Amino acid sequence: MIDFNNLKDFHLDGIKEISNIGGGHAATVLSQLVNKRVMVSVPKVHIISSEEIYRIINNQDEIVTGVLVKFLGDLTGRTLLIFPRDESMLLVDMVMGKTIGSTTILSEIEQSAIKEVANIVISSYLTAMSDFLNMLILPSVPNLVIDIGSAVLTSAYIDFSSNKDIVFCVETEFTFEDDPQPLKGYLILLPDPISLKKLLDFLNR
Amino acid sequence: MIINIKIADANIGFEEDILKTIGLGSCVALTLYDREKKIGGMIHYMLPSRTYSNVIFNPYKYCDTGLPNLILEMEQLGAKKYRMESKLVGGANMFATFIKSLEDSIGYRNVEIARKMLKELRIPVVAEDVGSDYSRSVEFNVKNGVLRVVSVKNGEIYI
Repeated sequence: MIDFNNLKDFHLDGIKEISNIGGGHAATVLSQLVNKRVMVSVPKVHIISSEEIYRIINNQDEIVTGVLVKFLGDLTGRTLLIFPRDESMLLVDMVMGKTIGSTTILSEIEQSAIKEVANIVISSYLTAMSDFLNMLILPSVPNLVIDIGSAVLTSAYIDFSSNKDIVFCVETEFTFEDDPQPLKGYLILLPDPISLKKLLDFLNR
Repeated sequence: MIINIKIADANIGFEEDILKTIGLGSCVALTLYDREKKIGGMIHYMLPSRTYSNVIFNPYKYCDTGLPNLILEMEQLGAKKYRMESKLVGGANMFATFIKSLEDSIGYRNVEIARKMLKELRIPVVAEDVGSDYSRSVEFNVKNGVLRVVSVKNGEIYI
């Protein structure tokens, strides 16, 4: 069990830096897919009790499109990509080359497009981390849900994590530049406790 | 009055109240109702029992600690256990393709423990809207005991 109180600033900074390498690659890929500039935030580390995890995003009571990917290998855990539903429709317009605003429902084709985008973004995020850490990370197929933000986040955490008390996660925000409405997405990395330990050991070396 | 109940919390309402909770994925909303006194209670718990945790921060995070607490609090306000009826909402597996076996999933276990405990307590479960792969939100009208259950997939139903 990791004692979160013993984490030093350099641990948190190191984990942010590792996530930032992944986030930078993911943003580049996303930018190429939609042909727009994509800004990526400095990653935030959240250490909170599991009943508070929904607070990480601003869209807790709204419908969001969430894509969850598990990863295996030297590091294990999950990655969750979240877009507000309306913004995921804009994303569909961009990647499918449609007029902006023309997608109004998310049927199977649109969902499949979002899954594909998420797959590419999350894979490049994890691959960049994998290369930097020199650890094997293998992503699973994506699982997409369109549902209330708080339920998506809470279930993505509590259904699969072995630590049901305290959440440790790293959150990166994407913003698409020069949009009529700024399109924003969240990429949330949820390492398993044993993998978090490995990351900390890597930083302690 | 509308009383909002957060994740891992509970509350009690009377005739003019509506108990409301949003975004039940694998979590469960368990309601108790004393129809004669028009006293209603609701818990929005996350996990079946405190054995899932190393620390107990909050009894309403777990069914096994939350349910007895809620019964006690309702009895202190004049409700009687032998008159109570219960309803269950939630317990879904939102990321269904990642669930290895249904019986081991948190959603399923959250519902099962409530059914088992309520049976032991001799409180009948008069309605349920549980399982599947989508989240639900609930409004419990304490005046008549009816639950309005809303989901993205199914719109609204009354149980």
